[in-house]
Amino acid sequence: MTKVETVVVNVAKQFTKLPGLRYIRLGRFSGEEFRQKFLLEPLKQGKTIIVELDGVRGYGSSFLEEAFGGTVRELDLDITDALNRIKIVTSVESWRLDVEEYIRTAKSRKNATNA
Amino acid sequence: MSSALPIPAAPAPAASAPKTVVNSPASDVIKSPEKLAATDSAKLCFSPDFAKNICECVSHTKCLKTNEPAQSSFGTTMFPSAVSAALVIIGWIIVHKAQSNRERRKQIREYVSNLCDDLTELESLAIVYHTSAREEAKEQEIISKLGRLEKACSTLPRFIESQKFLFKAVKPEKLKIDGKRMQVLRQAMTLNHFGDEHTGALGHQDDFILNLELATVEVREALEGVRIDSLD
Repeated sequence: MTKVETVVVNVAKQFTKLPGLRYIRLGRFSGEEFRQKFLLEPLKQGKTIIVELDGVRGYGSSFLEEAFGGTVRELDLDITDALNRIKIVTSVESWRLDVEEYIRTAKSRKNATNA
Repeated sequence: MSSALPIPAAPAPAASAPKTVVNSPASDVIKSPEKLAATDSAKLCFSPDFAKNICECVSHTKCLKTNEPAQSSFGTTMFPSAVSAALVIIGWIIVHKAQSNRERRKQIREYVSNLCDDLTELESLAIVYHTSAREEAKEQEIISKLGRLEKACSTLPRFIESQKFLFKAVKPEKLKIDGKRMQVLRQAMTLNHFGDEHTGALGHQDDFILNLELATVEVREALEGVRIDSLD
């Protein structure tokens, strides 16, 4: 049985305590920037990511959607696979629920966008 | 031991009763054997030896039945004292715990009341943001206040985490704000028509604004529920 490598990403320590908006063009510390810096590469390599969300000022839903939903769309990940490989650690339940929802609905959002 | 004192057979009446006052806890009651001998019952069973025995026995130094020095006074003095002390301590613990819980519930109510105020402020801010021209400063403020509210709601159960055993101030599940409600609130405020998607001011009767108000109502109801559950 092969051991899956795990990468731990702490948003507050490794990225910022002041997450911003959705896209890079809207300012610093956007969801798009976070996705590109921390999520895409490990997932491409087949690794599992543990994302620690606590310690920041707060998240806009657009940040979370672009970071996590955007990852699923960009890598065209299977939903179940994505949910298994992206683990969320936080004391704020609504953040975890939000991320999981954006992963689940990422494809439908893409379809809606395309439509 | 001498906890149950059988009355011995009546000895011969006292010829001459000792006049000394016995130095014992009972000496206030049994002033002297002479006084006892004056009563009808004492007349029947009183003698100097018997009086001495009574006095020693009451003062827990001698067993009346066996006429031997008492081995231990636990049964007559220590046990009732220990029970009384235990009752006093248990009573104190219960009163202390009740008072502590009352104070804790008061703290929770104040905390929740502040959260309701924060929520009202956040709702106003979000409505103004979405019904006006885009202001980036307001976006940051909304994210910040929303994050603070979410974190504050998620810390509510910690009010009773230090209470490890029985008599918790409030049931732990009563302090939990449903994460789904907070999620809906955040989505209503920051998922759409936020950032560069804010293309123009929305009307106050727009579905987006109504959804935002509805999400706020849901969270406020949850907070009010916690406040009610924290009443005395």
